[in-house]
Amino acid sequence: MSRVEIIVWPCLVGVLLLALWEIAVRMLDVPSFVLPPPSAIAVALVKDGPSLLLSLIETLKLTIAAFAASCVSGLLLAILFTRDRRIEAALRPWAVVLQVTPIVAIAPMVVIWVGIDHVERAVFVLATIVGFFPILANASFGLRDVDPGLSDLFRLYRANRWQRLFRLELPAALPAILAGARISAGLALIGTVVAEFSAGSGEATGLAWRIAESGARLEIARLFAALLLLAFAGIGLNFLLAWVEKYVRSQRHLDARSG
Amino acid sequence: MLSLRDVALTYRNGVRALDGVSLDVADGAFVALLGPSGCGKSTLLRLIAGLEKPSRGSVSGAENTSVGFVFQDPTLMPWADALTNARLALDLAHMPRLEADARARDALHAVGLRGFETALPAELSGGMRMRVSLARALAPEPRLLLLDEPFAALDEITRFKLNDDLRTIWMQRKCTVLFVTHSVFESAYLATRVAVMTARPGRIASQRDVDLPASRSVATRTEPAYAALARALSGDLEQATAQ
Ligand SMILES: Nc1ncnc2c1ncn2[C@@H]1O[C@H](COP(=O)(O)OP(=O)(O)OP(=O)(O)O)[C@@H](O)[C@H]1O
Ligand SMILES: [Mg+2]
Repeated sequence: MSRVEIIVWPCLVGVLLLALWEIAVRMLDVPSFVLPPPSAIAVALVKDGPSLLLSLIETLKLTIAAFAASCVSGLLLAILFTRDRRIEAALRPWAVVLQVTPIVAIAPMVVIWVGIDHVERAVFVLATIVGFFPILANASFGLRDVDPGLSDLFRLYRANRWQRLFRLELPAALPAILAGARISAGLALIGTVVAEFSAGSGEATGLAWRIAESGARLEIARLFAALLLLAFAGIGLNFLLAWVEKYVRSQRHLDARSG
Repeated sequence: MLSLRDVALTYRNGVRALDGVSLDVADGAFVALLGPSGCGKSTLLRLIAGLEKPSRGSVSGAENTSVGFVFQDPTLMPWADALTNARLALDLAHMPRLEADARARDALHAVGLRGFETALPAELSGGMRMRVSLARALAPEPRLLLLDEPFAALDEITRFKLNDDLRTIWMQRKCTVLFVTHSVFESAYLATRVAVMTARPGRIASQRDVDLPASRSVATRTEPAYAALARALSGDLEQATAQ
């Protein structure tokens, strides 16, 4: 299958589905507060696009901040874990507790602690909690997944712990860390929106609040337009990180042989 | 002098790799280790390098010398180019970059890899990767060189050339070399002494001094004395394997 076809076929399916949707909604006379036709969504997208985009930017700002914080904290914790089995044994259960706790459940607490006058701080903290786990898991796997022969060599040449970390463990772990980062970025976006929903009140400016507002006002076309923007943001973020991953791989020619 | 006294090594999974190895290697000697597959040759080198601890017996004389090790596999950093790989020991010893680069480059040239400095391991052939590994061991000019079948993956022409280069390096630097090989011809050509090991658990079955002229060349390979030595070593090996 050619490059063009890879793009053309899914688009064709998309157009077909949209057409069916439009026809079905019109023929069955579905009220637009239940399911608006694609044309109405397109109109909403044009009309409310600028204001929705501003909200999206607010959400993305928090997503990126939370993602960065997840990466840094996840990586640092993974490095700490892999220094000493006892540290890991002592801390890992608590990291898991954090992972399995639904953020909606801890949102009110976090809002009280850090978000009374700054909801965005609470959202940032909550999204960071959601995003950091894949980094932690992948990085601590990658940092341990070192070629034993290379590890012996570093021992033979009496490498100190910093040399071992920066010249052996981190480069060896980089592909795993990037794979974790890709998952984490998606979760950070979801985390931000969910946290906006659960922490946000009237002063929240992110996209989640626009969605909630549209739902409350039965402006379903606007709601769909907001969802569409969110989906595009997610796809864009994923593509960006997939590209970084691919670039790093090509730098190492890992896929020159394994395809 | 490197000295092993009645060394035994049992791996954690219960495999007895070595039992009762005694071996002396004089400073500046070139000792070849010959033995059947799985008899513990690699294990013996790892023991000497300090990467394994003996279960019994003692290993002395290698603690405070600089050691270069060529593993049986190339064991290169896949993310680093040939020059960076060859420079590893120098980088870890905090040698200034300029000097380290020059020495690593010389080592790569010595193993016939001029022009491949920026190639990544994945872009090199198996034999070329092995030579990067050899360059990495040579670059810091160690006093003791441990070589585990370094030339097994090479074609004959390259192998003969590297045999000669290795002997030249050994004579110039006056270092000690321990060289594992499966080839009686290679061991006879290179070494001052050949030690033959028994099947697992390995120990030294016999040792034979090589009474060939110090300067060796293509002509050596056709000399009667060389052929006789190779035949004698084949006999030793056969006997050791049967034990
Ligand atoms: N890390 C290990 N753990 C357990 N057993 C091992 C380990 N390494 C080697 N062995 C076992 O020890 C024995 C000797 O292995 P070694 O690699 O030293 O043999 P060798 O003489 O180098 O063989 P070859 O010529 O095939 O390279 C083998 O039976 C092997 O199965
Ligand atoms: Mg071996």
